Amino acid sequence: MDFTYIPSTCPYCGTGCGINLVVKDGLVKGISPWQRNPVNEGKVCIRGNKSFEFVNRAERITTPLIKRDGKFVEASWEDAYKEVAAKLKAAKGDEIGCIASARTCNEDNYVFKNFAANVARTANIDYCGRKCNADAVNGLIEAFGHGAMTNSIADISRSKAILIVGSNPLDENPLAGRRVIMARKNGAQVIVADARTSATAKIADFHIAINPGTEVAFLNGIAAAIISEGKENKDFIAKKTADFDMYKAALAPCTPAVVAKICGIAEDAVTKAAELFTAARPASVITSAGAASAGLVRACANLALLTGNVGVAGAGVNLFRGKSNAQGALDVGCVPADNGHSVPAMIEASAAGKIKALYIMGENIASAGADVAAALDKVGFLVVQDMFMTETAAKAHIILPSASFAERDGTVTNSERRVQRVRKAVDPLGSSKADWQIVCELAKVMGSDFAFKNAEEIFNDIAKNVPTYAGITYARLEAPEAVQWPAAGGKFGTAVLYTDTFSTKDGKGAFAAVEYRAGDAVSKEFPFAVAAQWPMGTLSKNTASLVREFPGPRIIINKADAKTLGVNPGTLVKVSGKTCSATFAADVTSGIKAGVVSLPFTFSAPAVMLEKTEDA
Amino acid sequence: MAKKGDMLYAWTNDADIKKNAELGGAVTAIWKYALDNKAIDAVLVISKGADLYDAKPTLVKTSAELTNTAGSLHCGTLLLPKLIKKYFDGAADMKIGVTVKGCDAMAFYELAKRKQINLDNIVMIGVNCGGSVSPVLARTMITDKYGVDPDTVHKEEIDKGQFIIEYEGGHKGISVDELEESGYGRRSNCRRCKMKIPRQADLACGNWGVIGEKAGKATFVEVCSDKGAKLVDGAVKSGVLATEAAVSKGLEIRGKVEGAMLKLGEKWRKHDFEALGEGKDRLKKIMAETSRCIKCHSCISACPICYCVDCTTRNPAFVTPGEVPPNFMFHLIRFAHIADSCVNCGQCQELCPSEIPNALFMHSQQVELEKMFGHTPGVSMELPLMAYAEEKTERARLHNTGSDMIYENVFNPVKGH
Repeated sequence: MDFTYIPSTCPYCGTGCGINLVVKDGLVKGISPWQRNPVNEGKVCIRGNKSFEFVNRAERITTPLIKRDGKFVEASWEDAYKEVAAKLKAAKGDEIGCIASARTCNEDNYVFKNFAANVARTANIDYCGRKCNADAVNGLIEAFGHGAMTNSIADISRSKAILIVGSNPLDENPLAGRRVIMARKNGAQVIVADARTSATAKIADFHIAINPGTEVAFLNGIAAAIISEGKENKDFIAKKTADFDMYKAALAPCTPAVVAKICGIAEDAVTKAAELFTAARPASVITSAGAASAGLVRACANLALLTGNVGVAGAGVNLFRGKSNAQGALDVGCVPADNGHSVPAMIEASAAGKIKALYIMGENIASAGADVAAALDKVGFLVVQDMFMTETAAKAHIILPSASFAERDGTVTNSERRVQRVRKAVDPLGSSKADWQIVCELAKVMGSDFAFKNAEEIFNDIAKNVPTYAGITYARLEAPEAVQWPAAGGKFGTAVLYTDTFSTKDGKGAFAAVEYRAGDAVSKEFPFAVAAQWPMGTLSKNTASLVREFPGPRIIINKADAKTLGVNPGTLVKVSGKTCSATFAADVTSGIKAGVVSLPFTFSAPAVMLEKTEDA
Repeated sequence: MAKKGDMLYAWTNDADIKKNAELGGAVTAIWKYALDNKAIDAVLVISKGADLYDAKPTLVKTSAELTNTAGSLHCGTLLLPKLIKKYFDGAADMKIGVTVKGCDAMAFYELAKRKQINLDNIVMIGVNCGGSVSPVLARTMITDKYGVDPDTVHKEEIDKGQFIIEYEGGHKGISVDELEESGYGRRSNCRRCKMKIPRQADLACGNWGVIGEKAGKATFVEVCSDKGAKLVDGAVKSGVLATEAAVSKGLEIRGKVEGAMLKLGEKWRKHDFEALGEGKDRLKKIMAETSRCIKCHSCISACPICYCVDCTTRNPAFVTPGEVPPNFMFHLIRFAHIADSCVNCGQCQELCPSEIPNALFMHSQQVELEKMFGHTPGVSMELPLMAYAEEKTERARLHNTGSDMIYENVFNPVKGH
């Protein structure tokens, strides 16, 4: 009997917890705590705890599948590659779209990007993080220089004041949420702005139930209140920042009265939040991929600059990521080239029949709504690389089966810029292959030999070509601390960015006027505002223990609203927005603001109407 | 011939083992003998993973691999018996040797009485344990308190009340008391532990009581079972081990060290339990802290008492699926099912992402239950309280307390015990 522990990185969220895969006689039998990993010290959330289950699931796709007369037929890799190659060659570059993945490794995304540029010859490359990550990251790039968390997950426990907006880390990024708990134990004041009384709101010292979508107004209000009290960090602003006067002038209309009205909160809530946030240092702002837009992240950055909370441990703007490699996919360059389409633009072009061939790696974009699913139906040739028959894979003409994280080597980069190893613990199931290997083999069939023999060789190429990854090698990643980019910051890289200067062109932190835009607010027709909740994804849906815990998408509705509508717990409610409609079972609770409902963020409508359909 | 109750000094004659092993290499030598003579199929030991701070369970099947595993790791906060239940079918078809700490030994007994592990197939060599330190905290401690880069440390030990490191620049020791006062040091369950010499094992080994010219060159071995005696005899006969009777002064010193450790454990219990308050105050504290739970199920996965195929905490009638934090029933279920048998191994606390002092809560209840009912978990094959509970009698007893607040009763220490 063989029994070994293989250290790896959890495949779920962007916290990047370390886990040990327990391997017995060539099979992954469980996960065991890896106490030595500095991110989570052996602790995991329920997803991490069950992260081995999908690896051995019978539903895994284990051979290439080609659709013939509407049915999938098993095929050899050779035949599958030949057919994909022929179809891709038949399309012109701008008729091809490539969608990379926030949950596959850096190595996969890097060769995929090269495939798009040099083999498919298209500028249309992007990754699913577009909708919730890439825009948000731009806000950070413009304000500070780098598109990532300024600080480290661990140093949040040193914060003395924490403002959490657009994020519910205890649920979404639990082991990052743990650091908020630790900070509170160390005396920090925790402020949470959320229409839901989320798990995180429940541990807060001050919970403000702002209307969904009004986060920018709320942050501007806090900033205006800080300035009107003269509590801005004048020295820091003078020495380290640019464009303060412009920013200050733009904040003039953001009085507590105006902000309170927009956010649906009491006036003194804005001033109290400002007071708590400036009462102690270091103070940090936490937001997350799900809710963040460029505007929201920029407003967070403004607040950090205003109070001089950048460049020290326990401070900063901390953007938590949804998927395990949302950071890395962006780092290695899976973004549209010049004039290339982003994911939403590719979907639009697909719907218009302008995309003839679409190559999707490790993403289930069809789950993002009926309009996306319909657009995929219009694509002439769809090739999907995945482990499971997702809604997207089901629409494919060819499916290329990829290996799970436990069956291949690679790296993923978590929210705090830590590049960590994923290690091959067992052989790939069936004839599935590592994503990078599939891409390289397909490239070869199409006449381009990438000549990578293993994941490490690809990584070395990444280190050569991606400046923030310079100096990182697999050898350096053997230490459990691994490396936080930029690597030059120390033995384990850089825990806190901008300790000296910012990485913007002029070395200064840039303020920006961020205006609150009302968007599609509630109306008579659509009377309920929507607060987004994280949906279940491909991995969770294929994990029995998680399906049992989270039986399906729910609408969360306030008790009083439910009473008015005659909705009971479990009642099926038809939810309609301007462009979409779906039915969800109801969770009735006092833990959400009246007039607000919570829906999975794949249901994209800012305001909805509700109709009771039937009781469960 | 060795027999149960013998107190010995033991060391190896094997040159290879001598080179790497600590304290004369007796434990490694006994495992070598057991493997070579097929007394066991494999040994499950802790070895170094990524570095000195990374404790990794390793299955050793031939004696040649043993030399890589010798030595103690104070960052080894793992509990091995649950692994044997989960991944080795509870040793149903395989004879496994295990080097155990006190908490491991107790956990083995508890799992065995629940028929989750076949102890007939387990050979335990116990090692004295003064407590273990969580690895990331240990590194921070070495950086902050010792001013040393933890990556330059090649050896650490706890000796004479000090945590001592050997590193490139020499060696440095700081008293454990001082470290613990500043928030470092041993895990809190280890501080409260009173199972310093695991006599439930077949052999209880350590360096306490090894004096004179034998100091550092031999291991003190207390023979705790016939199985243990047979192992020692076999190893001696095969030539890999040498023994002699421990001197009386050594016995005395060993007793003194153990006594001092037990006293310290008692001090920490008093400190920790008193801080929890009593009765309703204690309940309130527990409810406040557990209200942060994110229901990761790690406390359940790791607990050596939990063995149900389907945990009651997953019954939607008691705990609503998907609700975070779960209602207090989640924790009540755990208390009701485990508290009488908690061995204070600390896993539920060390692995809690919400920083809930779970082990403290469970241990504090176990101690009260022990006072009430006289049942001590982890030391014998005596069944846990729940196995004896006569429901009618028990309901009547609780009724007679004049309160239906079962947990209030449990948390109220029994006077006069």
